[in-house]
Amino acid sequence: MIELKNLSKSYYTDVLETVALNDISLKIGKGEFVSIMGPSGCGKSTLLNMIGLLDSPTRGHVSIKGVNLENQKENDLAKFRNENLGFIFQSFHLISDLSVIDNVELPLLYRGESAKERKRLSEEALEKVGLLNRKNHYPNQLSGGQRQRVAIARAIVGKPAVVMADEPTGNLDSVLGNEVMQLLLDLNEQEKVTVVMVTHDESMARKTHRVIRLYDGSLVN
Amino acid sequence: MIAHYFKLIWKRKGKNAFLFVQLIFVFWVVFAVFSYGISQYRYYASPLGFDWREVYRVQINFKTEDTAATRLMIKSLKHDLKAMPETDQVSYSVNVSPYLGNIWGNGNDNDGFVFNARYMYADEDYARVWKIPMKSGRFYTREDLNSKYTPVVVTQKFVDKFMKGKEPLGFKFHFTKEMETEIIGVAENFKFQGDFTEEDPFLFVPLADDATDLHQAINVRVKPGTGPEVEKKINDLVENATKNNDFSLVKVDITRKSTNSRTYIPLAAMFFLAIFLIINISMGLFGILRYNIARRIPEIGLRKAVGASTGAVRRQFTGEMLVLVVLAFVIAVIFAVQLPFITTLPIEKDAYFMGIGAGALLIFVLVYGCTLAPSQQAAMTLPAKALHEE
Repeated sequence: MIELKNLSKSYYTDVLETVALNDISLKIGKGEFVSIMGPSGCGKSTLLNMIGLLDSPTRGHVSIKGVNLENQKENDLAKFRNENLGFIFQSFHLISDLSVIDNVELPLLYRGESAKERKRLSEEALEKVGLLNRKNHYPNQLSGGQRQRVAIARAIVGKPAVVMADEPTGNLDSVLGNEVMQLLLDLNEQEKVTVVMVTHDESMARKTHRVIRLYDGSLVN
Repeated sequence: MIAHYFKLIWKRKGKNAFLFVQLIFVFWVVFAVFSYGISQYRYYASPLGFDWREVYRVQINFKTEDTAATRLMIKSLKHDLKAMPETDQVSYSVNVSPYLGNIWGNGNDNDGFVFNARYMYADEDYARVWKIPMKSGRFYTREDLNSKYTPVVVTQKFVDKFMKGKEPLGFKFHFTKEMETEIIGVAENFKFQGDFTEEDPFLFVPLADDATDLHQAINVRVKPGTGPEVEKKINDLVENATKNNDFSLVKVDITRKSTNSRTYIPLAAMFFLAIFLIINISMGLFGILRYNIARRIPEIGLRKAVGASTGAVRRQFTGEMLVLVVLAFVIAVIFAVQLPFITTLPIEKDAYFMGIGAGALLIFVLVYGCTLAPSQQAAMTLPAKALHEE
């Protein structure tokens, strides 16, 4: 499903090169639930951004679903993300001026779906995360756990093959964190969605199929 | 997508309120300036119906009884002025003449003919002095004065307004109770009140020799290329003939400039006010958009992450602003279009509506222009970087 070959990412200033990722090669299978762990600043989020096509590598290749995504134009990458990837962020990234259902339907808006279809799919996604009754609420009327569930609904509304989750439980207490984790596990088990999750939490990582550990931008065997 | 923009604008209505109100005011000011400007331009572009170049005008009050001697003096003064080598044509008229600012009006519905027009008394050489083009017929001559009916010349505007379906040449009507007139010529135009005025229906009525009190202006056309020294010669001639110096002599070009400045100055003032407002709104829009974009960088990152193309992000910001402008335009227009129906506008209705259209177009182009750079900046934001900004 996902294949990284010799992936490196460096950031440059006038006098300094900072290596964020160093020669990463890995494969993630279809339907796999993988967690990425490591100390702060080791490159976990950078790696997730590379897999999620939100940033481009300095060297190396990324392919998803057999598509080599090297040298693709930005708009083509945007289309690929829209059709194949879902994102969940630690800080939820909900648009505060949009209602829950409007937040959830955002990926479908850029896919060009009709209003009727957007509504149907968004309600279906909200049903899955148990928030259909809150569809007309605004993010500031929800708890942290509910906000993250809305973000999960937004991530899955377009039925992506891969969901990228960047510390999805990082801003939640253990109870709410477990609820969110259970939703991701259900999504992976029931709908065979590949999930790549960055986490600091060992207990959450243990629930996934495989843990990838990073240290100073390199994979740790 | 427009519904999506509208939702965001509605939810941010408190934040957008000041800009919205400002846009409405800008629309009104621009409507007013454009309407006035278009109206004035249309007046200016419409034909004058005479040629003011190389014409001098003496305004005089003979202050004498109508005696044979006065008549002779008036006649000989014209003869002497005409005899000057620099002179092309000379004519007497009342003080209703191009750029003087005086108007005489008359309306009469005797014989069932209803009219309401400006008019002047002028002698038979008036059309030659002012080079008034005739649409049909001819200007009156001295011989016409002996006919039963007083010969008059009307303008085409007079015909269009009061004589629909009637043949003007040969048409007889009572100009006053005592004066029965016959139209013998139709002048193309006579926009005598100034370049920036609306042309009124007009009549030229012959100036009788015995009406010495109506010989109030001497119009002198000099030959092309005549220098300003002719002014002294005219002055000396008039002074010698009338034995007084209670008159004014001016080249019509100067009066014209002075008359036109009464339009230029307020027009320029309005124009500068509009420019100031437009610069103000442009800077405001630019600043607001840059601020909005800076504030919404994580949102831009999210939109790009979920599949927004660079064009979609750019359209998000230009679209939101254009929806806001359309709403402000609708409110501004709702009030603006009612104005001609509740009050009398000093300009023509079609110029007013053209002004609304042109003003709206300007604002839309301006707003779109102001949103382009900040929207492009938003569109080029890298999603990974944007998502990590707070």
